[in-house]
Amino acid sequence: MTETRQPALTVIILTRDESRHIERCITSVRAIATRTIVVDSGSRDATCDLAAAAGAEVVTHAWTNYAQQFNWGIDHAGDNGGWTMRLDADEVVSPELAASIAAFMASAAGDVAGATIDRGMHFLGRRIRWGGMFPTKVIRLWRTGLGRVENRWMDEHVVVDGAVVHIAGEITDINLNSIGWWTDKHNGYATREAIDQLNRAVTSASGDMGAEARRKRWIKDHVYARLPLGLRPLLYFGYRYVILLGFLDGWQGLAFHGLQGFWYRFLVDAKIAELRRLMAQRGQDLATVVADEYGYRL
Amino acid sequence: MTLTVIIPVLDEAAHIERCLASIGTLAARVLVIDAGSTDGTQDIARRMGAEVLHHAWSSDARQVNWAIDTAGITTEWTFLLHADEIILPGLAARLADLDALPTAPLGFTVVRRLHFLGRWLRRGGLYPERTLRLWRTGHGHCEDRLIGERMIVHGRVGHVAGDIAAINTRNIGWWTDRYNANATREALAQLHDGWPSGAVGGVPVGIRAPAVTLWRYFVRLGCLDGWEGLVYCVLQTGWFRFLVDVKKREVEALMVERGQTLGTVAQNEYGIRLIPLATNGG
Repeated sequence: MTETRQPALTVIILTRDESRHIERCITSVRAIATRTIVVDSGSRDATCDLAAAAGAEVVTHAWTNYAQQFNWGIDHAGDNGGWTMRLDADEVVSPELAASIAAFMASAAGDVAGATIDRGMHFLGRRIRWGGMFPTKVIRLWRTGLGRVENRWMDEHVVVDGAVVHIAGEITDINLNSIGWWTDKHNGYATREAIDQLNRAVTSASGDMGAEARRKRWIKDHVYARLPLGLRPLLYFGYRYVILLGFLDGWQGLAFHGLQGFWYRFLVDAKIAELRRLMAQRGQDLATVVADEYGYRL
Repeated sequence: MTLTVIIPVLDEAAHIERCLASIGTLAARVLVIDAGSTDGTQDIARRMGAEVLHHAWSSDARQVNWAIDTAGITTEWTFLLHADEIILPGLAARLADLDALPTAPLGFTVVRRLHFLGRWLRRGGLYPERTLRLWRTGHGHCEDRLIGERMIVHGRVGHVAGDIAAINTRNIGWWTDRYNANATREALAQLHDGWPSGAVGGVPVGIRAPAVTLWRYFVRLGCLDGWEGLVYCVLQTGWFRFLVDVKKREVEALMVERGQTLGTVAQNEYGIRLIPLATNGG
């Protein structure tokens, strides 16, 4: 932080019913954000009031999917002549990260378009350290105008045009909701992931999503996608839980790797098989079956 | 015509017509106990000749017991059927001639076939599964449990050779939603029964669900039921039980963290009233 004017940083947060988390989230970027925009899709709790009271600008926009909602937020925000950051409501920016973002924005070379940031996670109150999951490196900060979220239904990354560097500090996902809420959310994710895997129209985005995300996406598209449905979640779980030592994370780790590593991916496979069966039985295409069964419009 | 059939429902427009059609003219009265459907279930049921009674839902068990206690059932026999089930012709023939049943038993089991993802699951210990569904009016009631309730008679139980089939046509996303909610209720019921998490019978909780899954899939030959059998085994046996165990630990952790009782956590976090809840139906 220098004596010169603070660089413009717009933080965009998508919300729906996030009253448990939104204040904590906004507070964690207060020192560095020049503008915080909360794009809400119809919260029925106090999210909007809490966000406004915490100093955010609250706008409402109907939900289609994360990518479209976020890109709408980018367009709504307009050009600030500086930087844009993606943050989820249940995440917090560490003080170290806030300091390194300030230093990075003040000194970044002209050809640097974005930054990857470490993302950690807590599950059932415990930090997940093993299983090779965390911290992941994700692009969350970019020069306004040079980054967008790729248009997918699931697992969407920010892609930027230009060089990407890594900066110190961490974004930590600390969701305080129950495991029932988590299960509900992942049931929804599994439907969207199944749609993405069946929908051949999904093309890889152009632009950079960061080396780690690129590597993981390649493995998913070229290795995981070719393994048999039902078997691949078991192999993936074994890899995470045994080889990458996920069992060292205690009972919370067993729950996390068992549910997020195995169950979630098994459910995706079950839904892929079910959607295929319904398409064959009814002689309908994917879009029709998905609209009838799950109400999604592709 | 000495039979009344009770059918608890909530938003069962997808199944109710098929269910009522399978009863045909077997019953003097068909009572559809509706918990507030918004999908037109009631209209379909009335059009099919059933009586529709409304009662707010707090558990499946209480819907059934409310009907038993308040619907003024005067037929000699009562039968419990769920909306996603049908009575198969073999059983229908037996129910048409109830006088031929032995006189000593107060209740009778029938066999329940389970269909999943469009396939009848015959292996994995799932068939034949006997379930008490027919009783002499006045002698049957449902265990007052949050989930997993069974019909009880205080007396001898016989068996009627005939099947019902549960054929739910909804998708696996719906099924996951339903079993997520069931897992919360099962976790709360187990804790309320004084069955905490932690090792049970020397078997750590994390091992229990996978162990039962492997048992059903390999020893009980669930593997012969194809893809559908695999999915059922992994999700219903493995995931569901694992989720119950995780939820028990979560609830216990919240009780400690907040210094609250089980009943308070159940109410605040899940909106479920535990008290008064007897579990043995006594």
